Amino acid sequence: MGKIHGRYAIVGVGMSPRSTNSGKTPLRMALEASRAALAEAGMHPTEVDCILSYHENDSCSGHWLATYLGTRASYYNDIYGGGGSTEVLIAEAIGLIEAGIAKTCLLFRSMNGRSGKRMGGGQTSRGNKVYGSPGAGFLVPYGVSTPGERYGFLAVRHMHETGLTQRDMGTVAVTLNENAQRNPAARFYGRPLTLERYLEEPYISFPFRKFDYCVETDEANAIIVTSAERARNCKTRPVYIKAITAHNATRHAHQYALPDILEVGGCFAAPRIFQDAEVSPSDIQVAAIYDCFTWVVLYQLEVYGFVKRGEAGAFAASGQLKIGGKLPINTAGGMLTEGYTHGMNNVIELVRQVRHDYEGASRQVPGCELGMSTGWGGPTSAGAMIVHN
Amino acid sequence: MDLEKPLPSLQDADALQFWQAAKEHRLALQWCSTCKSFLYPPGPACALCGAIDIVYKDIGREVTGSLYSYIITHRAFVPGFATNVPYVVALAEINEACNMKLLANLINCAPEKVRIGMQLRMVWEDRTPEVTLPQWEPL
Repeated sequence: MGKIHGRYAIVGVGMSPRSTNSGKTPLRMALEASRAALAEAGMHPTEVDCILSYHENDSCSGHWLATYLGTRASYYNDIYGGGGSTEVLIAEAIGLIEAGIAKTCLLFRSMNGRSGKRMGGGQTSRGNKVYGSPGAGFLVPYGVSTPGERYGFLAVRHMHETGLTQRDMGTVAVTLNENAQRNPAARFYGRPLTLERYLEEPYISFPFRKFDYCVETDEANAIIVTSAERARNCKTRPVYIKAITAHNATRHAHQYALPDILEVGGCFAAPRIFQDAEVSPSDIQVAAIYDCFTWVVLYQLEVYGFVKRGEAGAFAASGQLKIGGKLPINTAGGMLTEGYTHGMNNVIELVRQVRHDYEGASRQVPGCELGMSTGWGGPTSAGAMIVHN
Repeated sequence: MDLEKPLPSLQDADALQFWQAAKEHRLALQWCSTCKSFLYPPGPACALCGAIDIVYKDIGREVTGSLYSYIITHRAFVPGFATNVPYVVALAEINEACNMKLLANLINCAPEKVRIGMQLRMVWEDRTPEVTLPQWEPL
């Protein structure tokens, strides 16, 4: 996407209650999140003329959501997508507004991620029949199906090449857990974690232990995107989009055959996002780094140039990811400890930080004006966005 | 009840020659005539350059490799693997195929002995009378 500096804004964000067993349909949770986002923006549902969502056959359609919101959208699109889809849909919203097809877009992600379809278990075989992506027949018969297994090959190679350690991964888990202790709505609120406790857990799949995995959750999130012009009439402080991009690498099983298996989507998105935003990584004051796994955070710090190759572990260990450090990340606890809503909850926290919603509280990154989100899917897809207030 | 381990689909026409060769305990890999690369896993076109002039090449029965990366799964999520834990899955560069990588279980190797760079040989697991899988073991 070309130069869009400040012409589009996020004007409302909302969340449904978060739980392990919602007892609700994804549609009802999506309505709760959407109504919360509309309420804070001070918008009537009929002002939304576009609904966008992403799903993995575990959600509801935007058409249903529009029906029960009481709006009749001119455009909707439900994409099948994983991590990075929040950025992809915000980019789509901007494109639709730019083209005059829509004026105000509501994006949502809704999932009973704990009580319904769980992402972490891998679901590519039934009995002895493999189905799913092309190439799955070259992974699943070898006992490889879950994200933890698939990302492990990249993590072990990265550890081998750079000397990254399990303690470094543990530091990410502990840092984000500290953030969760400032967020009463986080799944791990009131359940602090030490590095010793992290290391006591047995491996689920080496190199990953229990606290390297994000926490599957029942939840819906919503985000409203509109033009800077319309944003001026909203109740919230607009968060302007400075640049946004997405990029794919090599799909699925082919990723493991690349000359360098660490060539992920973010390697392509990184130069583009900073070029378009005309800022450098050291300018970013608060970030939402996609954290489906602790290692994914550390690797992205290198991919996006926040640190040099091989320096992510030391950066985390020296406290630079904490509030008060050089790059505070996932200040609500992230998907590792707040809850996993497939990336959107991290973007919502980024918006709240850049708006200074927590002014006066220890959760606020003081004076932050420039923030960034990254999305990681597969690991072969990436989204990236830079925002400012 | 023991669940059976999953099998690759023999309905995938692009991969059929791979599995037919495996049944004879031979490795056959696709080769892209445009970018001069071996391809893995098989597909309808070259995943590196998009060319469609791809052919199968016979690598033979004696295949060796060098371990590039691996995982050790301690909790089985795939049916049929519960009695195998902890099991190692190896991603190895094939010496006879320009270091193209192939993913398979690393068998006959204690998990604590696994080291990146270790030399491996390809062996064959006849999972059913119809389906044979290439596997790795220490050389």
